[in-house]
Amino acid sequence: MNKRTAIALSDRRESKGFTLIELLLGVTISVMIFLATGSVIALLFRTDIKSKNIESLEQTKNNLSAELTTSARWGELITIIGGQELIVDSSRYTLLNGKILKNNEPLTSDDITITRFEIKDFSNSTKLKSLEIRIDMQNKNFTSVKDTFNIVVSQRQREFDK
Amino acid sequence: MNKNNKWAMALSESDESNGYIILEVVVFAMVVLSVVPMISFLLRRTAQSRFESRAAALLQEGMEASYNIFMSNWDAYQVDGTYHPGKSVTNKWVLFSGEQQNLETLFTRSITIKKACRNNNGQLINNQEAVCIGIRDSDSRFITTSINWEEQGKPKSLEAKILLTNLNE
Repeated sequence: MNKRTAIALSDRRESKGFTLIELLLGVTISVMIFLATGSVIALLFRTDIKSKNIESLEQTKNNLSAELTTSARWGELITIIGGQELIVDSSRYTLLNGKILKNNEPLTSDDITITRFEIKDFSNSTKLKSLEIRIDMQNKNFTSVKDTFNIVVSQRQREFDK
Repeated sequence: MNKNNKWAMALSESDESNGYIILEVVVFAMVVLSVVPMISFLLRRTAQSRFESRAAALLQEGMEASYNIFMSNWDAYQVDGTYHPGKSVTNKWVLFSGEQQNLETLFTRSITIKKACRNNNGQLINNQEAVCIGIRDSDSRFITTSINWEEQGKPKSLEAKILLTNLNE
């Protein structure tokens, strides 16, 4: 065989393609990379959803804290009924069907379920009330996303004895 | 083709294949290095806001309990002291001596009471100093609530101060 034919044959062998082992290895590595990338994307997606649900819960907590604190702090007459109903002047706060209602209007959104609404009085005098309000809540669609918090609020003195 | 040309061809092909491999590794590393910090940032940010939210709630509890205690009994506790809030056996707010540690396993809470110091015009001065260079106002108290905790080895704190004035006999 002359040199030119030998080189042509050698080149043809080199350009014929991959061996079976190379092909299997390539496919395996590709599948592993796809699986890893897919898992990372799924994790990112789940983390984003969980993060949004936690933020929604935090927002509800902030809204309830602001509403109940302002109402009780500056109210003139505070009454607790059965430890689960709070009346501040003309506002009535109750728990019904997983929502906290103010005068029968919901204060919490549809995606949050309130599982406990409890009010206790720790005041040192009969003139000024000091309340501890305990609220348990969870996300309706992701029940693992939940929170419990206490709001402590003291009625402010508006009349003085001097 | 002589030996040298064959070597040159073989080297050239191996150079091209090395170049592709390096490029793939670089792209993959870039993707991983951008995604992983993003995930850990999201998780850390969620955890941080919950710590601060809990600390703020404990701070409010201290302030509100102190307000009710002093408005009910102005001379119940000595000034220039450090206390923490709690509940008595009769379900009333009380102050206990010293700071409160391991609160919710993470926080330290303390309430300090100081008398206010005023000048001849009735304005507040030197309200944090031990020595009052004006007139001590026994009917005014500064109540300072502090919450301290550690996050990833770094100390964090929240503080709130209110001025209570006794206008009752």
